[in-house]
Amino acid sequence: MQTTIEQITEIFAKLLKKPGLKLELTDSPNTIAGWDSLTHPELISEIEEKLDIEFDFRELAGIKNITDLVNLTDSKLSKGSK
Amino acid sequence: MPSEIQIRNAVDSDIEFVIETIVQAEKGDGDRISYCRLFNIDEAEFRKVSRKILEAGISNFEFSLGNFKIAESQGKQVAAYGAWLEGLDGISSGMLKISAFKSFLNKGNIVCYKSAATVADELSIRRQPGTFQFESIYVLEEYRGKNIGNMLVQALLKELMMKHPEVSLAHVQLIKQNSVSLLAQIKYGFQIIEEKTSLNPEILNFYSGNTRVVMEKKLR
Repeated sequence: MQTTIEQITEIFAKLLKKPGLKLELTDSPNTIAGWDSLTHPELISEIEEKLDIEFDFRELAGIKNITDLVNLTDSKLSKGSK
Repeated sequence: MPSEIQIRNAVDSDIEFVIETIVQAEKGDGDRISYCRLFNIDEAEFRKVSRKILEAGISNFEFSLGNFKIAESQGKQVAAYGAWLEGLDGISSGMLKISAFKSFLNKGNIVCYKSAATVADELSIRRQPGTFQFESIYVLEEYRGKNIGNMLVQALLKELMMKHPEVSLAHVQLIKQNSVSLLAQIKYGFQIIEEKTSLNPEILNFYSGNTRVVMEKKLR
């Protein structure tokens, strides 16, 4: 079974067209080329759809790096999706 | 300084006036609201979404109620201006803004955004982290020419500089062809430091001109 960061990495690699991308927990829009305000909504929507979860604005506003995104996703998954 | 003008922080009851400020500042000399084109929504929907975003109470981007100061005359709101410290907590205002619209619009609007934003992005200039960013000024027509804009700039800077004394630059971005705003910002002490022009005619579907400028005011 894939870990959360592996699933998120797969989504980033597909949507940012970067096969072989390896996300680190410390990565952020400052270190991942293409993760910006143009691609962010699509990346988030794909994570929501694939993992059957939903983020609200307050939660999204706290995402500054992959650590935050993984932690938020895990906390949503542990609560049993939407 | 007009003696009857009071400057104060925006509060919940100012939301409607702040929305009007954002709309009028977006329109500038013209009638375009770039967000409407970006998300394929009309002005009424934009105002509705803006309210939801402002009510969410998230700080440090264009739609933060707490960023705004209101100029009041005899209990009536007559002007407003917003400013924030860019990149506080490591999150850019651009990411906060798109997260807000993603949260409050439907999937169809976000699909529209993807293609529209590719054009609009031709005029986008990244905001510099660690600078004060000014955005969305509006003064009621009958109160223009009374130095109220400058009073708002001074009040915003005073508060921001007290909270963040290490910051030495304030920036404002605007469409260069919006001559009224451009001249006003020069009057407030901002000077053009960067320009970006798009030759794509479609850019005029989003903005009232094809050149965006960054203007800077040195704080010390």
